[in-house]
Amino acid sequence: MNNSGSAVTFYVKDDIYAFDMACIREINARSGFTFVPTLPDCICGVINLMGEVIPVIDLCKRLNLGDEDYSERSCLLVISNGDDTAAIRVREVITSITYTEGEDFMPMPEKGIYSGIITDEKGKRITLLDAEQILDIKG
Amino acid sequence: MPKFDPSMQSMLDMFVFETSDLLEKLDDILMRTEQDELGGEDVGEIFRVMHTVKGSAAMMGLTNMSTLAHSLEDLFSIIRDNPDVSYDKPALYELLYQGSDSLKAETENLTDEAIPLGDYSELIAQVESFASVMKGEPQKNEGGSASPNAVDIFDDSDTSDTLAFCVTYSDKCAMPELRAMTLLNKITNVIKTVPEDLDADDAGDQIGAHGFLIKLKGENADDVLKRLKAGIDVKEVTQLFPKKDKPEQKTNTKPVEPQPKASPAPSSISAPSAPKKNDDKGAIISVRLEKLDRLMRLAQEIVIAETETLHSEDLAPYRKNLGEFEKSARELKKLTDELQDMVMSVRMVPISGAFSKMNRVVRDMNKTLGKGVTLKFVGDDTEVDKSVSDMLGDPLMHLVRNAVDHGIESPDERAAAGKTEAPTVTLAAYYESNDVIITVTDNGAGMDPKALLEKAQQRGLLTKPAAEYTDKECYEFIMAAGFSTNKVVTEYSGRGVGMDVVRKNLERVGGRLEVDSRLGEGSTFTIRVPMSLSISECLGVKICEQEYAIAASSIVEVFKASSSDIVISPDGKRSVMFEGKLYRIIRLSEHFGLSPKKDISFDEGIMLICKSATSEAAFFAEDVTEDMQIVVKPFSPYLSSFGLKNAGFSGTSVLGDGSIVLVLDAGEIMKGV
Repeated sequence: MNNSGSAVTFYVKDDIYAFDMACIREINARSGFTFVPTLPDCICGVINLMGEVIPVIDLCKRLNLGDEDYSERSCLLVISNGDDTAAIRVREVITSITYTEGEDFMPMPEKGIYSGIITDEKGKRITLLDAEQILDIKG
Repeated sequence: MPKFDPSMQSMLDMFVFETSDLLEKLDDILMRTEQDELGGEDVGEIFRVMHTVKGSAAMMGLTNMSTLAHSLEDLFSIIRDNPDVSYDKPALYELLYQGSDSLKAETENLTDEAIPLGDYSELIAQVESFASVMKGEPQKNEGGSASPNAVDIFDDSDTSDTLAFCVTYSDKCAMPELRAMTLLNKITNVIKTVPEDLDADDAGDQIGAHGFLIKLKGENADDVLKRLKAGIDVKEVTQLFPKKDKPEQKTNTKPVEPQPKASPAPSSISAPSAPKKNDDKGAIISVRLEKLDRLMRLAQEIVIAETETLHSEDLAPYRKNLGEFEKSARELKKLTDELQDMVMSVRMVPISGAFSKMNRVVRDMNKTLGKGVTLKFVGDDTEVDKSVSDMLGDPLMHLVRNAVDHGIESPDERAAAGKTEAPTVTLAAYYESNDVIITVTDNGAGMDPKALLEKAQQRGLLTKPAAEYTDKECYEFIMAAGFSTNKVVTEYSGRGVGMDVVRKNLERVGGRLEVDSRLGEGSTFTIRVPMSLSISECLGVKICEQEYAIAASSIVEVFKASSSDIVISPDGKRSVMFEGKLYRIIRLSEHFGLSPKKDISFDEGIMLICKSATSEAAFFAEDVTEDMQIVVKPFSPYLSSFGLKNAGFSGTSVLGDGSIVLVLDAGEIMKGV
């Protein structure tokens, strides 16, 4: 079962989302991207990660939530589904948490871009994102 | 059916690599010794090469290769064992060259599933019959001299506590060399054994004929004797004693007796067991190129990270008091620079590797054409990237063949022209800025520009009046497709293919081919290639304030157009006039769907006339920035899935400061319109 584990939480707009720790390769605070014409709107450019050129996905646009208010606190979460790697730009990373199905985690009834809901100790709901689905962008 | 299981791929790579290396070594020896004397060392070396090829081919299950290598190995074991054996040397070398070529061809074809495994039974039969002719008389000689005790295990270093034993095995023992090996595990302090190499093919036979000799030190003789006797299939164990001066002292019960140290014993056994000469020029390991590429990338990354660290904004408030820090920083910079240079140099190989292959080409041609051409090298220690060296093989071969076949005259013609110097083809290499220049020069007949022009006219190759052609332009005709000046088509050249192919292949990797000639004095062909193939020459262009790179090889001309050069057809299509020709204009910002902040009129920006194999057009950009030498990397599969290739990008390049520049694909952009 993959429904327990730890996750990294972050803000998109004013809501809290999370990626499973297993899919995260690194987190950095880089901000200079090289714009690439003709790419889908939610890809704001490419960066050089150890000689590898990977796309930067604007998570807010990817989730069709409009324009994000990025600042110097914004981060790139480099996520990978095994084959493909991309950097996900988020407004601000918060912390890492653990979750267990049946206790504080409920999977979504249908598989999709949102894989489940984690409830933290204060009762706040955190949406767990499916990395593979996020990377699967329909041009 | 595939020749190999996929799981054997890495083994196969290794095999191909090692075997090609060995065969090249073999060719070197053959070339060197063909006119010279074939020394004992070279015989031993050839034997070892064949032995190794045989072994590894057998391991790969390539019986055809291993049998061929085996027959050649046999041939050399005869010569090695009896250096005085008489044989027909030219015939021997012909067989060796054939064998070497067959093995080489087979090695090259291994990875190609379409080519079946070769059948060399005919060649093998030839080699075997040659061997039996050779054996014919030496066999008789050997009957007398090769007595079973031609072995001397004692030498100068022996002291009084040195013991020696001879172990013989019973006849029913099938593999005495294996028994001998187990035996060795039971005793300690062994200094030497005969045969020395129990893995050798003939170890079993030697033990059968002479027994297994062991020399050890500081052990109790009786104890060792007891342990040896306990060995499986052991028939008899005898202790041996160094005989000081009487060689003829032998008894019939002891199958082997050491001969005195003084007796010259060029026996068949001591030859292979002689310590291998350390001529391997230090330890060399082979590494896959991908690993080196990765290493190079890492080194680049370190430099980038270093720059970021040392120039970090956070340090700004402390700049004044950073004396020690700056000192360490300079030291670090020095080290990282050195690291980068080192990593680059690892990929560099001397061009002599590519040059020396030509020795063989010239030798073969001398044989058939009888021109007696000498091949000379100049600057063959010039180093180039491995990929460049590999790529140069074919062009060099064509040019050298051309020089020997077309360039150099026949001996009669040379004599008639009063030429006294030896017919020579010279290969030279040197650097010029970022390029490596390789010249192929012959001191032959040279080319007559008028004859070339006349021929070009006949073929309808002229694009301007004949009188306007310079000599240099005339020489270039020989690089046109289907142009051949040789009246007779020979085995090597004269079919008119070749030169144009050579030029195309060189151009594909950003190289160039130039010709110069002097009638009666000879011709020079000059190859110019970038030192490293992974680096390509690009021009930076600005589109909507962002810099992009475009391969210099696809750009014909860069110019600023005036508004009067612009032609707009009634249907709105725009073209630009350039040197009496109209080119359609592709506005790059428009092509990529970008909306510039302010509209730039055609006379404000820059026109780039670009050409691909199929079309040409004028690209319009805001500005050109600079020449850059960059390493173009294709997009990752993930990025490619967004159709970047079709949009007109060929890849990306990471610049020295870590930033990324996108590389445009002119051909693809022109297709889109």
